[in-house]
Amino acid sequence: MIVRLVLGLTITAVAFALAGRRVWMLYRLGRTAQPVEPGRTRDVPARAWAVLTEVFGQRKLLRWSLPGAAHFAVFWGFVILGATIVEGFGALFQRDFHIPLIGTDAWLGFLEDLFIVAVLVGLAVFAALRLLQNPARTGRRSRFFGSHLGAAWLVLFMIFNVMWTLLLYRGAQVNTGNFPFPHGAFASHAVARLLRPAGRTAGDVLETVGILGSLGVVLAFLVLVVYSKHLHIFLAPFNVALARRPRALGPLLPVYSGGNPVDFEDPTEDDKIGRGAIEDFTWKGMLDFATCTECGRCQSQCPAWNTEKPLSPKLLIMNLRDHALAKAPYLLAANDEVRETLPDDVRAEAQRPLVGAVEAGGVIDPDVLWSCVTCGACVEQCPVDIEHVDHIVDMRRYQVLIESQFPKEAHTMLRNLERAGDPWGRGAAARTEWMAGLPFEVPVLAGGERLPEDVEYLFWVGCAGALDDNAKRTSRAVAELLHEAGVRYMVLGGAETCTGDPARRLGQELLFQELAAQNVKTLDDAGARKIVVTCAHCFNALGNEYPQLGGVYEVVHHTQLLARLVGEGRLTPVHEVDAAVTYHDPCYLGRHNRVFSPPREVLGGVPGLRLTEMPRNRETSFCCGAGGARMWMEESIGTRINETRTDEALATGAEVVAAACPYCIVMLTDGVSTRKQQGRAAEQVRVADISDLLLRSVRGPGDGAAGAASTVDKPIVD
Amino acid sequence: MGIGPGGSVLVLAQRRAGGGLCRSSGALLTLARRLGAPVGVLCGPPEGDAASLGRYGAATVYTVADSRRHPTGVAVEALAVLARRLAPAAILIAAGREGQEVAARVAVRLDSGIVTDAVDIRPGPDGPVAVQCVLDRSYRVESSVVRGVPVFTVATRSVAAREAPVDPVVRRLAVRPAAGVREVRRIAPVGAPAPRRPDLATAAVVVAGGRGVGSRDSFRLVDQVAEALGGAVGGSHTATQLGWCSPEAQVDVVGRVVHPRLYLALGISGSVRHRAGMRAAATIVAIDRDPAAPIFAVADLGVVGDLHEVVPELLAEIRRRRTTDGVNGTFGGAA
Repeated sequence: MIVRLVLGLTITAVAFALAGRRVWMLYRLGRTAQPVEPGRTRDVPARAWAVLTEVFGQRKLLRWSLPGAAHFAVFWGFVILGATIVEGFGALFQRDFHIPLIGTDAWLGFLEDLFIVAVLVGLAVFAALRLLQNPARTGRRSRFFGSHLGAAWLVLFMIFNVMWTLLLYRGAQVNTGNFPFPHGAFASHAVARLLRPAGRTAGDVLETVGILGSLGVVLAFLVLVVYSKHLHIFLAPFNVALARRPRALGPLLPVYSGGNPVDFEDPTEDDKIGRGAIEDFTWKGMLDFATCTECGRCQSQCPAWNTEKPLSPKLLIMNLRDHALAKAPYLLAANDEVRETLPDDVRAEAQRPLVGAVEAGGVIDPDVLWSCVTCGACVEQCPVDIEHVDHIVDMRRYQVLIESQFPKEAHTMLRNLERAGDPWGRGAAARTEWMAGLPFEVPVLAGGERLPEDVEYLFWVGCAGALDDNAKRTSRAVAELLHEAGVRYMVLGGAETCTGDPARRLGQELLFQELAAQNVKTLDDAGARKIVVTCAHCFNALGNEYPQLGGVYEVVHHTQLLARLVGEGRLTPVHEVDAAVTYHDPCYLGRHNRVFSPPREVLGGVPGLRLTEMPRNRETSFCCGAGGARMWMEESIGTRINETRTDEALATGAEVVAAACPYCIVMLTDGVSTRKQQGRAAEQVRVADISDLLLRSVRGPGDGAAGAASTVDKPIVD
Repeated sequence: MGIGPGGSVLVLAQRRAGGGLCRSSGALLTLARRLGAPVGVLCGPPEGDAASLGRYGAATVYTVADSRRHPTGVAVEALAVLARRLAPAAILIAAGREGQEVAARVAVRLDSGIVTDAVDIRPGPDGPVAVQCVLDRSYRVESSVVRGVPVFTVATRSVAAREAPVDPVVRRLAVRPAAGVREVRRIAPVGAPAPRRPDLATAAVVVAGGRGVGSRDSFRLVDQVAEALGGAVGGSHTATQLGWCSPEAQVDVVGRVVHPRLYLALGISGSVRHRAGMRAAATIVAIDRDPAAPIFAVADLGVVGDLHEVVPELLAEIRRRRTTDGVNGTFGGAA
């Protein structure tokens, strides 16, 4: 007994020392990072619920049924089998130790054994998945492409070791009579039966070997955990607890430096704008990098990765993590003299630019950074709530505002926003063109006036809705539907200016702040309370981001309003629209803002429409490719995102591809036209906004009200 | 110096690279006839071109030999000498790279005022009045020179050349530029490379094709028109997306923004993203099948029709006219 006690405590001390040293270093590394932005500890009930459902309930993991179930088993195995670690340590001191009160209950023994078996089954599933999806065979299509596979197999092997040594020990304990559970522990008793022929002495030896082996493996695993991606088992609960709530989607955060918001009208010299070096991230960012499990679910959903671009959210986070760890000695050095004495490779690491080409030693390649469409599919999937989009935009902010290094194609768009208030530079006077030819007068609020009391909605038309020929159709259809339903609304006409969304997504936060401040003033002067928009990006900016500048409005998407009007009977879609339709969830309406049902309700209300969902719909919708300011950049790497999504839509057999955002409509219209040109789409396939289809059904075909969408279907594609 | 007693007007003639006189020379002489008696100045051989100047009313022509080594230097010297000798009412030179240089140097030599890129010149009470179009053709500015012999460079494209045949008197003029000027000499002519397409960013003429062109083969029509007009080739984003032209030729909000004098849009419907790239063009001409295409809202001239029928006819007409007019000229004679 003394031997096992001494040995046991010794290896425990060594393991804790090694692990502790590492944890201490990681903690200090986190301290070199910036303070976190405010709000991370607000709303404790929501955070507690998130930890409960996502960590203990494994909610996000279970979205993928098989790996999710296996992980559920392994996770709960570790939690439950914590009891066996207590039992093991107790047995170092007292051979037949059992946990007080419940320590001999059959249910506990059963539970422990059940989870040992479950973990082993889970491991088998994991191994099978890794073999089936081996990137050596399937290449980029595997979510494990780029992950550290050797380390992953080692972790699985160590968990296996933990399990079988535990079973060995328990079986031996049964035979020596020291096992706490006379009943219930079916697996341990089965192992005992296997070991019994070895005899009593062997049994004693096996028991000692078993406990030391079991504890030794667990402690070795502990050290492995703190040196590998498996650290997520300790970090994930914290990362989930401190994540943006309800999710790191929707609004982007303002620029913070040192935990305080940066005043762009009067920034101080020390203000850090965005992320130019690894230590510019907040410690929450560092926590994100450290928590990454390399599972690759984000990578599997990424529209850029799926179209052969170099961006993988997983690889991005891994690269930042590895760079932080490699630069750690430099960051933790007490002063420059110490830095001089560091090894060459550490000092070389410290010289690497955060964003730069491979030749320049950059950690993140510019092509990786600028390929992102900010669709948020990565954030949606991540089981440990890493906030990829925020990190990408923060790096973009530094590149744009400090380095002025960004794809030059976006220059024209930015210049046009600055000069004319819209991305195409048409100017305020052109914003009323879309109203021409409607069979009624669209009420325009005169400059300097306030909205009359009886006007319920301000209809925010947006730049595309006013200036893009394909999107104008939507504005006209919505105006006509609102008119039909008797909804009192007004538009701002030339007083609208771009919400600033493309500037913000590009990283041009300064321009966003200017545009947003201007719009908030316009909206407040007009006395706007309820705003209806047809663009998902305007929806997100006005509703979620303008409160950051003091503009608080009730913003509703046109599909939500139309669904309500149909539900209330104020719009009656009576005419049949005989078409097979599929619906594309815009990222900024669906995933970012969780509006999935209203467009489908509208479609469902139109008689004759037959809806077939695409495989990737709702939360897993595949981006059209225009987000993240990519609408204003050229797509020159890999295949086209919009064509990929178009193919998915065409594969449903739909004749009408329905969407609810002008960006999506432009991108899908382009995709459909290209496919038609290539003979891969039938001539009658068209792209239409939800409102277009509803208007058809309300008005009927070949209608007298010639103004709006109905019969003129020709998309304007150059 | 003031208005000369004889009322002569010096006109610097330009030759085409392949030989013969430029259209610009006839245009300048036409203008000169309004102001006085045109005197042609012709640098370099062959002297036979002097007679052609007579077609446009040059009663006297001075030929200056041996200018191959100092093409601009000799022209400057000749004009300065003749200006001092004849005290003309004005000196007219075609606007262009060489023309602007010669005019500027002559003006400095004669301590005279200079007006460049005039689109018209007419006689006025205090001397010739030159008309310029400025600020994207939104303003006309009329100027006259108050000091020295007025020197004008003329954008001759906007001037019609009218004949008024006379039999010119041809005189030889020997000039020897100063030693400093002679230091700059043409050493060896380099064979003119295949005419380089102007860069899209600075081209005066841009010919762009869009979805309506239909195929990469048909896009050759766009190339041909661009070559015929000496312009650059552009494409809508569909054209570049489908590989009909290079990505660098993309004209739209994410591609190149162009500011040509003439933008010819072939088979482009004119979406807002494309318009953002070519809105600044001085003159927009569009050919498209769809009468409702938004491009016609911004075009100065539109043709609704199948470009595969219209463009070949356009090409034929351009080529027909080019054989009778010169476009780019030189002063130094046949190299």
